[in-house]
Amino acid sequence: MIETIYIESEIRSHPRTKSILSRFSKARIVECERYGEVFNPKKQNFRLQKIKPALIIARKHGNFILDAPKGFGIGGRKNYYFSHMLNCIYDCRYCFLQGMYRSANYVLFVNYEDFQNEINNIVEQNPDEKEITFFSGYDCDSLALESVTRFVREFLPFFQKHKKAVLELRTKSINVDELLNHEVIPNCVVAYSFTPENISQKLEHGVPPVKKRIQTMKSLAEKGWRVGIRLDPLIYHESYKKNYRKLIQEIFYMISVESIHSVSTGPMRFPEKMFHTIKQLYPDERLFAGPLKNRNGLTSYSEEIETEMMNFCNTILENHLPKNKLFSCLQSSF
Amino acid sequence: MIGKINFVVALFCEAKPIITHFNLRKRDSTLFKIYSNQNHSIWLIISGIGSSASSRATKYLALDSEADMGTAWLNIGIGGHDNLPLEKAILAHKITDSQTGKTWFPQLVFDPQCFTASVKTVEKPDFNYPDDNVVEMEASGFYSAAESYSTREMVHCMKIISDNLQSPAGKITAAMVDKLISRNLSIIKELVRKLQFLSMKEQERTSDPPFLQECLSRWHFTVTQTHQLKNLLQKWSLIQPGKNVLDVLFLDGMDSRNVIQTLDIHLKNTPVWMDHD
Repeated sequence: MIETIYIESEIRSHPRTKSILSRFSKARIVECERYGEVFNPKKQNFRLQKIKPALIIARKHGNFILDAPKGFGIGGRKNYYFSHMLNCIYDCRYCFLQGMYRSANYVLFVNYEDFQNEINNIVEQNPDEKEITFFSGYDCDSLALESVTRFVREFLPFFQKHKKAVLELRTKSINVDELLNHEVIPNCVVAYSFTPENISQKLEHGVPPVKKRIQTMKSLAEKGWRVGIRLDPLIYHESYKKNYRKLIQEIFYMISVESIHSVSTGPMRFPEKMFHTIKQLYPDERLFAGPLKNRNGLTSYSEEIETEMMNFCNTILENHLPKNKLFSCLQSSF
Repeated sequence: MIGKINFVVALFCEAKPIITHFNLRKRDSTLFKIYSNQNHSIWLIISGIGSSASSRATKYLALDSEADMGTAWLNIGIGGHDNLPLEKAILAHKITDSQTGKTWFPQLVFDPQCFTASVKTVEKPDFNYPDDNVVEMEASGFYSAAESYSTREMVHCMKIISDNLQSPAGKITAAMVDKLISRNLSIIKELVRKLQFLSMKEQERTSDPPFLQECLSRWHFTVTQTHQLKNLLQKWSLIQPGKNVLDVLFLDGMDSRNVIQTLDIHLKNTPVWMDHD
């Protein structure tokens, strides 16, 4: 429940701001000039703010659409990402956001039209591209705060009109009413992230259980939505082979291959400095005491472990779906 | 662990009910009047009036109380507002320094159990009560100083309304101030309890890993080695909870380098499995 809402003065009267405020009549409203005044100051504690994050309503002033990091993709030649929101309601211990931002408050940029105009420009500037992928769940969960943001409600009609633009909604949320009530659009992929249930219980705080996520994915697939599976990051543990095999089997038992747009696997990697920040925030976290190494400015499992896990999971996945639907996300920058 | 909290209060009449309630005792101090409780978990300083005085007192108390990142800070005082009723307690959700225009946004990660409002710190008493702000004279100086020692979730300002358009500031007396604070003690107590909880959480997070002091007293470590040792002992506490690290170290004939190497090898050979409890 959001109890404090910061609003940039210039968008106090924005229709989306008004709409949100009408749904949070009891919230404490605090005006600021720029969201950075609240979000960026050094003396903030991400871990403590996770107890009760506030919402910051802001206007984004540029860099609406960014090139996706190298190695981040699901088959398309051109990949971009955009963030209508910064931070996430979930609290996954492997998430880079906890080391990226000083604040755990949610920043929501309400000038959706500016994002849409920029997507439109990119599509028009690339007439020869068959499809261009736009990832929306990089700095947040695409669906989890839908009741506040109405992001899906506002962006689906836009993508419906721009068929060359593929939207990936990356999520762990089971809050999919907006999608189930909307006509299916083929250029949208609803991608679910998973770790095995026992790992999820330890590391993915506040996230719906794996079974519920699979069930939700099934409902979407049955409705006709194309779904994606993201085993990213892969978490190394003693029974990882047994657990990832079970997870993959459970998913493919429930979801027909025809509904699956893509499956991707990816290793756990952090820039060294970011890892240091996260480890200081959670010194009591076993994940960070694991067999991690510093390689080329990144903290990750050893190359041997990474390769072993990726190969293992990809081999099992290849038994379930054609190779052209399988991708490895080897992100080397953030 | 006990949460630590430092009060910064401008006047003795504002501080008196707090001193009495928390059973604080006056300490020997020359520059400022300072009080603390028996276990030194609660401290209070009388800063005097004004933003600069509050800033100086905050810095002074930080040194005297050996404040660390796990210490919570609370400025309590009186303030005026055009229409809020007398005696109402408010917690600042925004602080603006009227001179510099600089703003701070204390982060409310708990339910404050009282009204929250914007606070404007002025240099001289201002009876115009501008822009729906609570007007007072210390918050900005206090906040800018205190956030050097802690984080915005643990630094807060509480103001009790002492004057408004119907009851101007000229009527305020020391006895009235004492009464205003006393009548809000239950809210103050609850706020202190919540801040102590955050403080305790932070102290747990930032505390030294078990056995650090034993190792440091037994061998001589350089600064870099101490850092390495801390990391290794932190890992030890996760992998071997409850087990004594000294059991794997040969106590005789070892130097700090041997200690770090031995621990490093031992921990590398003891994998941490995420799926084990």
